[in-house]
Amino acid sequence: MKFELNGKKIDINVAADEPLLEVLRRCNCYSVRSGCDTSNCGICTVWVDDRPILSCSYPAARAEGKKVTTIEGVPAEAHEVMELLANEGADQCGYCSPGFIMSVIAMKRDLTNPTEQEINEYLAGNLCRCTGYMSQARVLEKLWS
Amino acid sequence: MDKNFKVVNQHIAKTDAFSIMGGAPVYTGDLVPGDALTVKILRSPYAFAKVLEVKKDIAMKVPGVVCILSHEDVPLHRMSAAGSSYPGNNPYDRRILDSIVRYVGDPVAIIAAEDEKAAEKAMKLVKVSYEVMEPVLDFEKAEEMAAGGAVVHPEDNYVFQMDIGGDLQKNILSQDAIGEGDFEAEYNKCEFKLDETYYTCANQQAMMETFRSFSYYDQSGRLTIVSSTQITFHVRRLIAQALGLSQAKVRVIKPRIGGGFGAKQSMVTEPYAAVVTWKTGRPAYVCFDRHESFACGNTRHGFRVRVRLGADRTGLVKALWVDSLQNVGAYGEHAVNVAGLSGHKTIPLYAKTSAWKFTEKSVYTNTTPGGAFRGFGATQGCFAVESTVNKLAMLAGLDPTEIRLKNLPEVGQPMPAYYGEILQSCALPDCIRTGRKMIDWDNKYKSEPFSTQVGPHRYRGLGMAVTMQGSGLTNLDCCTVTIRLDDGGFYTMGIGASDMGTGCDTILAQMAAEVLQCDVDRIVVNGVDTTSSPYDKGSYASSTTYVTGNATVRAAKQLLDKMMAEAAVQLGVEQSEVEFDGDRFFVKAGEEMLQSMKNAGLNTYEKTQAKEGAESEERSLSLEELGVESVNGQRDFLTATVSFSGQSSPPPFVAGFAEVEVDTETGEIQLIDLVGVVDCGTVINKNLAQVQAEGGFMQGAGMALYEQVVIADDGRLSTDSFMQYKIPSRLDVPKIRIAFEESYEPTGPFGAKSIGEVVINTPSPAIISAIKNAVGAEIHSLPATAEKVYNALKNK
Amino acid sequence: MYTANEYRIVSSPEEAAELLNKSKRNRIIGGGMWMRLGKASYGSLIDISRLGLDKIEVFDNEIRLGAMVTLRDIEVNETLKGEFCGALSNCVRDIVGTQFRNMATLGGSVFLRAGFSDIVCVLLALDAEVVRFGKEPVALEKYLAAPRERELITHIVIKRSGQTVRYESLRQSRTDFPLINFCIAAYEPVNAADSQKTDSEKKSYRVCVGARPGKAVRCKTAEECLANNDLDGAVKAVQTLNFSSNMRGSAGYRKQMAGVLLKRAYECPVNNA
Repeated sequence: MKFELNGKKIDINVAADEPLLEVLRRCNCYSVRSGCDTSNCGICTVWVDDRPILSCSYPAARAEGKKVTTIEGVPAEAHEVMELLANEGADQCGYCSPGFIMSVIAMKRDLTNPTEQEINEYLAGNLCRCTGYMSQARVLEKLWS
Repeated sequence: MDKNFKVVNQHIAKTDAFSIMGGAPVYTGDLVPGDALTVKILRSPYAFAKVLEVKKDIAMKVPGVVCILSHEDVPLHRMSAAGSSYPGNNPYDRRILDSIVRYVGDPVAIIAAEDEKAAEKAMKLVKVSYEVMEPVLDFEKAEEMAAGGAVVHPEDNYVFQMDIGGDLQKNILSQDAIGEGDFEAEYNKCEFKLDETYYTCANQQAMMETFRSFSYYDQSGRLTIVSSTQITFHVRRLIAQALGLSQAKVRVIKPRIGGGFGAKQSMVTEPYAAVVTWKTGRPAYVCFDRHESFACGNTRHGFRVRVRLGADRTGLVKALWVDSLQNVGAYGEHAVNVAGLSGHKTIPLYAKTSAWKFTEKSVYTNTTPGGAFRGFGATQGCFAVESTVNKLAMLAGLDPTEIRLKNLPEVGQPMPAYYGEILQSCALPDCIRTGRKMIDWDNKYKSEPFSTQVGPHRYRGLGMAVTMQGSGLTNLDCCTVTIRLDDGGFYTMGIGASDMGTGCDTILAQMAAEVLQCDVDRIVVNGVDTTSSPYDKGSYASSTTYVTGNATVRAAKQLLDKMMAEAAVQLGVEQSEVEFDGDRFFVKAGEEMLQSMKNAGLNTYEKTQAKEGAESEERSLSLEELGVESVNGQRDFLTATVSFSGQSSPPPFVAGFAEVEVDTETGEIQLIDLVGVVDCGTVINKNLAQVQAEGGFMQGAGMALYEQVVIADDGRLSTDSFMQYKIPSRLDVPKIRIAFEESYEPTGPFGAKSIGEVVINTPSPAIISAIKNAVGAEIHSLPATAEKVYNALKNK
Repeated sequence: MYTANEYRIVSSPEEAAELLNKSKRNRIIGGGMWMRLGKASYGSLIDISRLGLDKIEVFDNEIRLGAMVTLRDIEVNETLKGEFCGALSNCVRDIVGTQFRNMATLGGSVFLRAGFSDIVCVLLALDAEVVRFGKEPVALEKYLAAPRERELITHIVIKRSGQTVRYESLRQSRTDFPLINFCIAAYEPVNAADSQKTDSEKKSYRVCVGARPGKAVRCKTAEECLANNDLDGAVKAVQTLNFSSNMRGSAGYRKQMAGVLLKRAYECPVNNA
């Protein structure tokens, strides 16, 4: 299968039943982590053609010819969010952070002047067990201002 | 109290923040050797059965399969998987694989193969025959069923480490009764008598990184386990015990952890990887999927708590009896201590009793084993006791906040139900007052239900609760810290405390930095490797800040003292003449010079200038120079190691408040506001403490409203995924507001107590009371679903 | 997780149909969200994501949605936000999360006919039509009642009849499956302009209850009651539907809630619009 990963052309053998997540980890994108097996937690969020999707459920073979982006591919935007998260203590265990950050960056592109409710609805699929979400909300407020 | 801190009590980012968020390979699953075998576990489909035969021959023929182990292949002796200091009260009741399976998902065979597909294929070909037995699924019937022959642990090599009142023929793991005074007499004298029974269900810790570990032989032939664990050193001891090895032959490494919340205070995956490496010599990796993590890991223990409470007309609690029945599940990890905390950490808050009693019993059943989960019994007890006190407030027509203020223990007072410890710091009254202001209690709280209507069929109500926890286990938990000065003029700190994402690496560095007068980034903190880290019991029991923190402060002080002494030698003066500003050692300006400045009639500014000028001319020594000197072979290497064990376990406190909105047509509950005011002594890291508290409150809200463990009639866990076991999303808990009322704990590092667990306890009683305050619906079992509220309203 | 021998991205519906008929183990993959929960072993997975079936086409009298339109497409489509009182775009909003809805497809939802489906409940009230490759279009109501067949759904078509629609659901937590869902669509009389209405020209309704927890069904008695302005009768009627218990709710609670949701939906914009 050929696809573009973070701006680089990749040519890799992919099994018919392999989820995109596994392929991305094979390509050394360790930011792509699995949290559930039922498409519910949002931890494995990456973009395919700029749309956030769950890489644990996305058939890798479907990405043929498409553009896949992980946090490794958007260092500048990611750093901005990471810095805000770190300064708020909102990283905690950090396991869900890369997926969350990918959703946040996509949201920033998709929504203009969203309300708090719209932000929460957009990000509802990104679960976090450590933080209680309030510190993330403080980060998002700073990110929009 | 001097709280003029520079590094502690500040907002400091976690030292590992960018690596964990940015995708650096720092978690267990990122570090697995390429040639590791994939380990899969064949699990029992029955809740209770004898394993008659495990036929492996056909499965062994699958290409890529390297080994298949069943109970005949593993050591016979029993062990505990609990991560607790040794010797403990956990029974030796499990083997790596056993000939009896005791819950749906109990391991039957371990399969190791070159890849996952081969392992999965082989799993289908292993043929197991069982003799199925009737399972004990209802913990309230565990004793009764034992009489009928359903004994969960009939084995003859079961070992009680100490007398805990167990009676296996009755499915009883442990029981105890303590108290003071004549309960019945005092209770009968009371104006208000309450007798209430509450139920909490098992809850999933639901950390985002599931259980996982891998093992290999290191360069010196030690069986090495890399694990996502909170108990690095306990795992070393437990694995050695499980496989009959010397601890010298086992090494455990803890990388970054994707959350634990207590789940990883038990050994879970480690023996499966280790036994495969031990048998085959090959690296082996076992990673539980979410279903396994939920069904075959460990959960919060389900409880039935009966509270009998007597109070006088003014709301003074005179008699209090907490009676807990705990569902242990199939294996007894942590159960004895968890049961104890349901009383030890609830009864002391009602300090004016004439009689109190705490009775508890823990019973085995054929369900997923219980384990440690943030709050550890205090949570279950708090729900029951605080709900009862709120009911007292309603009956007596008193304000629930006033009742608490009337009954709380005072500083200097011994707490008999809390091991007789003397309370040395407590800002709980301030927490209550601040919380009351934050949630606008005085204006919003109406004692009668249906007082605040906000829409057709919609009413709001307020509720509150108070709680305490501990800070480590007194005289048992031991933590050690080593700090050394390196030749580059920086410090390296070795700790055995296992940062699970909460940031202990950072807060311990803050404490050392405060003593050593430097920034956090001058201190390198090692992750945990039993080969190089000093002993620490691990991260649990709300102990890291207090116990490891105390060791850190003492080690840093000892190192500072050694550095001062050495600097004095190098500078050729007495140690009392040396000053240190974090970077540089220099000789203090002497009395002689100060006198001559005074005689010259200099003003303060000129004096300072003159003093600095004089000092700069003195010989001084930089930290780097001292570091270089300490490795030149002529002088002592500068290092300090201090071990600490708490002589007390000072309780942190929380006053928690909730506002909810209830729809009387459907029973739906909407959380409006959660407020928590925390006394954890001095806050070491303002960011991390706040986020800990917010996270704990969210988990508490999940327990109160959404998180339901459902077990089907055949013993199967129905809620085995995030699809069926719903932890709160950001839409479910719209607002959590936390404030701190800092007391100063004299025995704590910089006055600190713990924060990790105490923050989970109050939401469930506060929310349940708010529901009752809103619409009068009384809930006695968690979670409070819309249907339960609807039924309570209908049946009123 | 499923296993599969081959993943084939097809370039025409014919190719998809041919491959589908070749072996019983071959299967069309929509979003794949539900399939991955199973442990089935497939031959060829047939990917129809490059057949242009991801379009929402708006015509004067109907809206045509491709089978590979995602739930997120439906949620954010400007036309659908305004059409059918926004019920179609609203009903998907609570499903798991944005990423999930970026993947789950309309065709997959309809093919699966799951009891908990929010969108199937609304489509049933909208009297949607299922378009399958090489077959006659069929009303969703009939499709739901028929056994699942090996076929390629290409489109879902909804007539624009000026319906006023209201969707309601109850969930234990916001992103959970509904423990019951409900949709009511009110259709204006055909000759609404006539000043003299007869009985046959009364407003008509479609009343659908899903997540009972069985799949969505119409309640025709309730529809008749509403046409006669008999709300109490309609409430009683929906409560006679078949409800059962699962871990999200008991049959008894669902039965009561069906009545509550009907009242809410009816008293809301449906009747006032």
